Amino acid sequence: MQAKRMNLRPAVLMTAAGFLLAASRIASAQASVATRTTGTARLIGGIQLTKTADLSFGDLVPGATAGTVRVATGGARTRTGGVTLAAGTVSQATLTVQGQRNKSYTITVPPSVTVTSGANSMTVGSIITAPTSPNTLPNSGTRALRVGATLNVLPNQPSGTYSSTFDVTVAYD
Amino acid sequence: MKRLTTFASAAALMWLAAGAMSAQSSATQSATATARVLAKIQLTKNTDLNFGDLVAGGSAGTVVVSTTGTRTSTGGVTLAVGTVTQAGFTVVGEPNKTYTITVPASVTLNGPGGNTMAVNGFVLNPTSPATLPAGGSAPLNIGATLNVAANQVTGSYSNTFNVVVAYN
Repeated sequence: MQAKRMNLRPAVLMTAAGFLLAASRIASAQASVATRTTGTARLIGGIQLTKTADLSFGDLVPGATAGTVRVATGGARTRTGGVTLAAGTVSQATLTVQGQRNKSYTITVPPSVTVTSGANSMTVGSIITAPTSPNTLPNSGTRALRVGATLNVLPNQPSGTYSSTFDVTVAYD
Repeated sequence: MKRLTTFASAAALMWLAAGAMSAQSSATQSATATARVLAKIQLTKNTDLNFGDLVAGGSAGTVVVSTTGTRTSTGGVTLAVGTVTQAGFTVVGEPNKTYTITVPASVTLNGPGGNTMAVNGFVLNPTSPATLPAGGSAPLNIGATLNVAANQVTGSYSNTFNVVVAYN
């Protein structure tokens, strides 16, 4: 039994090497015909997500009544209620999805995020993405992903810089 | 033996593939959401704009009050003693934040018998846009020019005007 195990090892290693060779050959040729397994194809087109910009609502002044500040996926900022907008860095969150071309994927963002400044907080909701989920990667295998959201500002919200992190996830369908 | 080896190789291949799938079939990135709530900008008046006492002449003239409250005249106007002040305010708001100051282009002062004088040429110190210092509080002084017609009817002339500060 022990002898059999020892004999197995070189065989496994050789197979793994052959597998990698096959994988690299397919990758360099960009062939879609994978004669081995679907696993081989997935190894080439693993999905990746890279962030290039954070979501920033900029500067604002609260009012005596509640209000909202919305940053659209295109980066445009609008307000409602008792909130006045002031200059400051405004940006939608921007990420890059990279993966297997023509492959469908889902995008997941949280329903809401609480941003805090010391003991004070605000809620960020209506988190939207462009493109919407699910989406299909183009032939280039790369697609931008933009995230906008709505900030809910309470009456006389205390001044301060409010922030928090949230996760954006992409997954093959 | 040959058979067993083939089976083992296939298993290893599947394991490799499964490992690759679980590692790369999804990806998560953390993004930061940020908003800055500014301290409300507030404007408090300390002194009103006052051109003091003056005597109209046979020709038109002007009285200029600078942002420091210094008074000068041109044309047929003679200055007389009286309280002279620039408009003085205190701006309080978010430290290091830029704001704009808005004053009217001209204001009409109303006097007796429906007579009027125009005030224009408003000057600001600081000029607009301005930036609040680290302490978040800054003075704002405003001067202007009073236009006095020839033989302007005597009396007290006054009106109010709005000064607006707003964050950029």
